[in-house]
Amino acid sequence: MYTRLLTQKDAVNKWMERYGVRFGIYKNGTFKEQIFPFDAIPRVISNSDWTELEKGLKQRVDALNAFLRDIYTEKRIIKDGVVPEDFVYSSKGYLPQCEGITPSKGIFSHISGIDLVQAEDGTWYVLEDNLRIPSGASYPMIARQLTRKASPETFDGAKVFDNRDYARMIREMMDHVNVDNGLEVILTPGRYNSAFFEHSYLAEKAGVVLAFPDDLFVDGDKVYYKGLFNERERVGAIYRRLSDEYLDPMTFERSSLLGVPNLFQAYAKGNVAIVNALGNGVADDKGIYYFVPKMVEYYLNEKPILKNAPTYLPFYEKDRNYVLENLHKLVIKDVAEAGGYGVMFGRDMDEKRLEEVKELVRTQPRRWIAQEVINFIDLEIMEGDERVMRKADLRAFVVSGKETKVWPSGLTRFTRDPKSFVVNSSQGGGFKDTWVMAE
Amino acid sequence: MTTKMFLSAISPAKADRLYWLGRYSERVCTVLHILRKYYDAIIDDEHTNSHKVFCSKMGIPCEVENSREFVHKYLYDETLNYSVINMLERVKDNAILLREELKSESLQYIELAINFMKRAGEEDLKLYDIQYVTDVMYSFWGAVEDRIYNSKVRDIITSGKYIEKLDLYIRFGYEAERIEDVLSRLERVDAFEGDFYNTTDFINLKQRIAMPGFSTEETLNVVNSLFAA
Ligand SMILES: Nc1ncnc2c1ncn2[C@@H]1O[C@H](COP(=O)(O)OP(=O)(O)OP(=O)(O)O)[C@@H](O)[C@H]1O
Ligand SMILES: [Mg+2]
Repeated sequence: MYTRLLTQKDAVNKWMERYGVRFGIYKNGTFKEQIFPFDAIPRVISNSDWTELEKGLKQRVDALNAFLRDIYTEKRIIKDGVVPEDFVYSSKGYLPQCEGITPSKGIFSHISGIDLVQAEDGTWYVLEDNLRIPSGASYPMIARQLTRKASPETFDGAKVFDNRDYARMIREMMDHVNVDNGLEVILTPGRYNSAFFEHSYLAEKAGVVLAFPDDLFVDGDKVYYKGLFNERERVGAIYRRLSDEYLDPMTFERSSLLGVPNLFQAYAKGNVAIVNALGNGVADDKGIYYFVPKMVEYYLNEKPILKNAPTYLPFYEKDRNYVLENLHKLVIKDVAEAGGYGVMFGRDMDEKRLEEVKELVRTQPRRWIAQEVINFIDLEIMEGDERVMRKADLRAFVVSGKETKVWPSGLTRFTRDPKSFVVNSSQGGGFKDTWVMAE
Repeated sequence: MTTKMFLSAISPAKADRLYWLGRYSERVCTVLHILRKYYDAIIDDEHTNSHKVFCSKMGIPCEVENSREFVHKYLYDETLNYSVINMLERVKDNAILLREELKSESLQYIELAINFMKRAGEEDLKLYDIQYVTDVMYSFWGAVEDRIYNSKVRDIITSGKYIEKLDLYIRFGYEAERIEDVLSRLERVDAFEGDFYNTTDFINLKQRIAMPGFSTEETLNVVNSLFAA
């Protein structure tokens, strides 16, 4: 199916270089741009697998949005004892400032990146929900464009869903939440952000303005784009690629030079849509993850279609005992960390380390979650001219606007280290295009 | 300053980037062109002073005696802020922040130019071997014309380009007709009717250039402050 493409892999990589497809990384305090290693062998997802995944993803994201609406208003799910209060209020992502705020059209998570792995028996498991600023969609998008350029024959008659309309999906969603038909912008912290390529590429493809923090200002609780002759243009929707704490120095991190002063007020008054909404971190917290299948039942009254990896919360005594006894075969994660940091495999720890971690679990139970190790499948990747097998996951993107839509593709990340399960690009991993078959 | 024209959605910072993108891109093209002429003299005589003349016209220090060595450093030395490789870096610094206006298709030429230039420096390619940089920079200018459909954006880049051309033509003592031609092109750039530049300065500049034997230094000051706004 893609043999021809492989003969063109050098050509594809040349095109990637020409197009400046990179991601940034800080090493010892200095910023470096690196290429994001691309593997030409696509991950192929059959149409029947996809149909199930798509349903499950929509369901999950709809439930997560319902949870966010509830948490910042009525808190029924807490009152009904489904999610313990403790997990909500102690989460770093919970923002008390957002209490009572319902964003434009009631949508909190407009762009959700759901990380999945497929086990040997074919079952898909969700490892994590990313509801703040999930990044990475631009890579398979441009990879498709460039592979089609370099090897058009490969796609001749191949029944693969086109994935190049991601930017249009984003645009439609922004149009939907836009307040007062204002300008739509992608707000980037700047060139030295690891995902700057993505910010600029999505702005190009979605046809919206790429704004830097200095380009925006707030006056009378409304947001404006600053023009050349002191004229101003009202802003209606901001797809921000800047995390909550840096967004507005008047409300959050005072020292932030990146934010737009008083943006929060404009948002709280409903005068601008912010994509994704503020305070979403409470729902993609590693501790809250445990409760997502319960949210599906609670809010949608449906049986969850997608499975979580079997997860234990040391917060519950029963789970804690299980974790303490079985740590050597579990994965343990620090709920406050991301980017693959703070993810530890029991089987890689020596006795001393195991004991140390157990002690941490005993003393700070709320800080950890533990999971069974999912032996997820290896995918073929090219190493030079050889094909080798490496662990790979999938980040699926769900866009919630007028409807909830799943992008028929996704970012497949793989590890280049034969012994590792950690696929993050910050840890040296690469990526593949994801082909979803149309039939 | 009054708002004559509503330049929708171009912030001052963005206008600044567009302007400097135009200037540096033009600088790369024109400087390589002029340098080739001076280099021609070096072919016959490595010990000519022609590189010193070049430096003094460009207003840059001339620290090496040997012409060939100068050319190498001027092209590739990343520690000299006036080297061609650094001009390209400045082009990229601005361009990379403007992808949504320039489009990836235009941006790729800058990537190509800079990647080539870096390799050329490692391999110590001679001036004539880097014709490729000129080729892709002209491709870039073609893409700017073709791919950018916000005319205001295009106009700001183009003004940067003509200002840079004026600056260099004046420095290197080009004939009056050539300079006047650039001036009239600049005048035709749409974005700049009105308050964007100082009309009095512009008229003053035209009169100056029309006079034989005008002072280079003073004229350059006028040129470079035209868009200080
Ligand atoms: N239960 C598990 N079984 C096997 N591997 C796992 C498990 N949990 C995590 N991993 C591996 O570790 C990686 C990182 O895990 P996780 O997504 O939970 O951490 P993270 O720090 O939030 O990373 P990111 O924010 O970049 O997604 C996963 O992509 C996967 O490769
Ligand atoms: Mg993850």
